[in-house]
Amino acid sequence: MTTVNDTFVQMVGVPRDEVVGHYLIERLTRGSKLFYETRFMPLLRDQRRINEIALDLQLPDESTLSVFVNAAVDDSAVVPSIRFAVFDATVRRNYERELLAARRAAELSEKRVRILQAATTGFGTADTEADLGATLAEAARAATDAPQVTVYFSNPDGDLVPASAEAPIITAEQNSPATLALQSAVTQTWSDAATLAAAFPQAGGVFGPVSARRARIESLVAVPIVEAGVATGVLLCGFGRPRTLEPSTIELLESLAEQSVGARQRIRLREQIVFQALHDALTGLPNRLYLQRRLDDLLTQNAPDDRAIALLFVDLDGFKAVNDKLGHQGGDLVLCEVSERLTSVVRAGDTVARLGGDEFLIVCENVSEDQIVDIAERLRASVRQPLEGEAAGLPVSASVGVSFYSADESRNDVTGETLIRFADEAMYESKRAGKDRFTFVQV
Amino acid sequence: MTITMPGGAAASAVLTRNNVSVLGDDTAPTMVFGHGYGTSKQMWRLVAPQFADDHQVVLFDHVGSGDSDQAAYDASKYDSLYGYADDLLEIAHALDLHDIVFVGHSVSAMIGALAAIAEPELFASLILVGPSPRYINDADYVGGFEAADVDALLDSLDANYLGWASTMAPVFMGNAERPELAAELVDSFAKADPAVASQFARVTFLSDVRAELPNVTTPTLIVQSTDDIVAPVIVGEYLRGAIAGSELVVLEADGHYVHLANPGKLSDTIRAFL
Repeated sequence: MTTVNDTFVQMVGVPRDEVVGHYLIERLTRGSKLFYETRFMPLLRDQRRINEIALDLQLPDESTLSVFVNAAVDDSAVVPSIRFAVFDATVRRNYERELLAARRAAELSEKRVRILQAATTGFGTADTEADLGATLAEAARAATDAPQVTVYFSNPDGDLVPASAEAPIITAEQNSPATLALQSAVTQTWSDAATLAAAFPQAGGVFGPVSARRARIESLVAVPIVEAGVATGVLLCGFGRPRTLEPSTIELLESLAEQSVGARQRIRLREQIVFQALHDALTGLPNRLYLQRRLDDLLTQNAPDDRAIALLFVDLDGFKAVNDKLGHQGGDLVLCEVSERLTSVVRAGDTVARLGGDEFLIVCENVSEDQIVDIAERLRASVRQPLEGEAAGLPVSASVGVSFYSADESRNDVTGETLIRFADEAMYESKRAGKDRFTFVQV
Repeated sequence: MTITMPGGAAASAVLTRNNVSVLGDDTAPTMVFGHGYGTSKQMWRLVAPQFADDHQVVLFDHVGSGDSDQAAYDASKYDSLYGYADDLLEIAHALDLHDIVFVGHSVSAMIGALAAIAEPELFASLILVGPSPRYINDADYVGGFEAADVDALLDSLDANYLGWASTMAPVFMGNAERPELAAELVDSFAKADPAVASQFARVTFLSDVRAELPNVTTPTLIVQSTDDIVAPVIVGEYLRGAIAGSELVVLEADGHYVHLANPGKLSDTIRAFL
């Protein structure tokens, strides 16, 4: 049984008999009804009393009235009742709304600055594209709470490659959210599962309802990473429920993507410099520095194994005649041809390096004496194959020196330099003995 | 999704995280009770004990609610119902549960449905109390609310938090009639993060589980109340149509919290179905 005073009847603006005998909830707006049922009543049940809860009354003329409600459970009567006190809170609610709007705006801009700052720091220290992608993904997660975030960068061929090593959950096939954002260079959004399904109706391996369901993605945002007007990557945020991001959040994602561009250019430049420092400019093969590091790594590995290491020193026979006849450009072509031949006869995992001039070094790890003889013979045979083009008819062959080292001989004093020196001496022995042969030295 | 195997530190971490408690006989059939938005496992205090004589009864708090581990709240994980469904499955694995009768109120009903779709072999039946797969009306679908109503709810949550901080704590402290509520309740409400409450409200009231419903293969009972303004009866009828072989029981005038308003009737309804 509900009873009310005249003030409340005036407040709600309906006849007294439509109030008396009805629950308070019936007078609330639908939004306040939800709040009343899911927050107000549970709290009242637990605490028996609550004060100054803000609710909105629905008035007959479609307008609403903001009120504060105090409520207390009165257990003193035979039938327990609830006593409500309702205050008109229009003025205070408006004030608090403004306060709230100001607080929200301040929190949002503080969050935005914090995320951008953290990302800037992360981008600055990223050494690899994988680091960069992880930093960008982390920032996007903080900005959106997206359960699934994937970053793609396009490679020189224009294909999208995931920035992280693990398999991406949001895939990037033809006509997928990622490729659409890449091609348009404009942020794309799909705010619910039906929109996603309609946009990508393909089944099977293509991004669409099937794979989206497996990834529990019901809405998605794809932000292109734009470098000088061209999209060179995509940031994808997938959500497990229908979601429409605020324009300010999308702007934040776009700012993050934009900030990552400078860092990526720096990383690429650094990778280029590092590559150049460790590779031969003519053939693209690893250079002496790279090979020495590789050898040192192998020799300092403290794995208790007896794997043998072999080093093949290769010096071309007849190369001076090539240079004399064809000039350096022609000579360079022959060196490139020989590089390819050497690379094709060694095993996967062996390292072919160019020391300079017509000298090459090959490191073979975990190899037996029989195998190394086999490799050396294949190598000689391949270099001896007739040359084509301008160099046709000019005989080129290989003098090879092999230094062979097994760790089980309990010698720790062997360095990369020693192995190179022994192989070099063995190569000279091959030269002295008449060229186009190999000499084997057990170190 | 990480599946935690029975026993060990990982299992115990799950049980702490979700404030799991177990009543009754662990050799008897298992019932798991899930609470709704804005509440905690305490909401089942009048119903769950009625099953402890002939069931193993498992109660838990969702992460971010009740006395769960607030530090375990991960805004990305809990941005959708799937994060909560994963937790339910982890609890089942941590306790090595099977043939589970899952009783879910309000948003827990849909969390249970998603968990049962992911690992149907764990569940014997689903009892959905005051469920809704989508609160917002959509074309011909009647959920009972417009998007603006949910926005108003989210505003109310924020607006009322301003009041809570200053006025709620003395209220808890001064409650002489319910001393058992005192210390820990003050604690848990004071700790309740408004951002968590707001995100859980968004996930609860803005999710749309309708497309998943045809994948429910577990026998399902839907319990709806005639005067439930959160989940109207028409939503219960929609669910009965969408979940093959499900049953709908409509209780007269018990509101959204039938487990508090009429625990005896709800228990009888559940027993009749089991």
